[in-house]
Amino acid sequence: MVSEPAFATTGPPGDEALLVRFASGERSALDELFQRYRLLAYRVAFRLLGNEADALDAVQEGFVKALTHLDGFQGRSSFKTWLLRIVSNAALDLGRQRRRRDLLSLDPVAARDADIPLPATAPEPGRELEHQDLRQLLDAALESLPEAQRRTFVLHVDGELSYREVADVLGISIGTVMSRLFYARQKLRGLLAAQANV
Amino acid sequence: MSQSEPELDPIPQEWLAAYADGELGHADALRVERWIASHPEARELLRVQEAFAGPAFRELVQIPVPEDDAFDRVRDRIAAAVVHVRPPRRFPWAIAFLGLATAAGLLIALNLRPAVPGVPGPRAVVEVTPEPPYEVASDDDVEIVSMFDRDAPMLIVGRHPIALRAPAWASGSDVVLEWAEPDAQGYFSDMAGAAGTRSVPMVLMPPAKGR
Repeated sequence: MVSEPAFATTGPPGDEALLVRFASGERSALDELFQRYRLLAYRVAFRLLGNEADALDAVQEGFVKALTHLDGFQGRSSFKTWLLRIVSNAALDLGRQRRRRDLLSLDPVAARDADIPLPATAPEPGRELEHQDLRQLLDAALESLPEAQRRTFVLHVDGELSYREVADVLGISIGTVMSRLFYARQKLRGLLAAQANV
Repeated sequence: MSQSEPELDPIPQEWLAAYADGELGHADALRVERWIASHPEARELLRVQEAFAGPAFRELVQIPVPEDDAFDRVRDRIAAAVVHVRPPRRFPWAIAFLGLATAAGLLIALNLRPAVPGVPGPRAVVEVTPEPPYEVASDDDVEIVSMFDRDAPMLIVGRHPIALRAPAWASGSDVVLEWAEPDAQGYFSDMAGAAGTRSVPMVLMPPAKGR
């Protein structure tokens, strides 16, 4: 029986190698890094902002800052956690700017009401939640979580970061990550139950 | 007569989140399983945690993903932005190391000359004129990209209130030595070579004249 010859397998280049190539001016390295992390970054930004245009802006800002401040992360974290940290910061900043802008453009009564997140279309009683309704309900519920809980939840669920990675990104302990996730989910469940009974 | 089950130690309820996410170690996961087997209220809490765990939640509430064209436009704008960014200025640490090494070597040579018994050795008096602090970067070179919450109260805006003449900016372990050049005799400083492994504070030195 002839055994198969062993070939050295070459996987895709690691982030470090791509960053070295990027630093030496290789455009294709940037393309590959973007392709690798664009969806994760977008999901985090979208979940924090709730719309595509703002989420893409946050992704763009996050990548630009991450790639132009590489000295800030090298040796301390992975590119993924560094990027998602900056993207989530950018998304939260954009969200704050947007809320300020919206409040300034509203009359006082509307501004007061704008603090209360409500789904754009509340489901009719007795009707099964459609997918779109559910997403809007969850967006509203997520938005009403305290920022620290919301960010922790989004980084873990949509950024697919482990507890350790979330802890590194936010500068908190793993126990705090665990606690924030537990209470965030309990609150989400309570908020959804309340919204569904509207 | 059957022997009663031993009393279980209660688990922190936050563990249910970690259990739902598969983040608990084997022993702790077993504790959770034993606990929920005999506590229906914990089972209900776990059900909520599992409903909002990563894969289930992402499947339940899928995010609309933009077309590739939209991502391509973002990528091109990123590429355009990063090529116009000025590369970060690096402080020439090697020069600082060599300056320190030269100064230290000079002091050691002058103070450790072998003394002849009965004959007072020459006493070197080295007058050190403090250099003004060297400007590493101006405030418009610095952009705070992000910071840990715990560091926020320490953020200083404006001039540092402690006007030290020779502030320690970093310890040796914070520095990666990228290059070094020999002195006039062709020697490299031992200090420069060892700096990256030391945790002593480093004092910022002005760069050598003429560079």
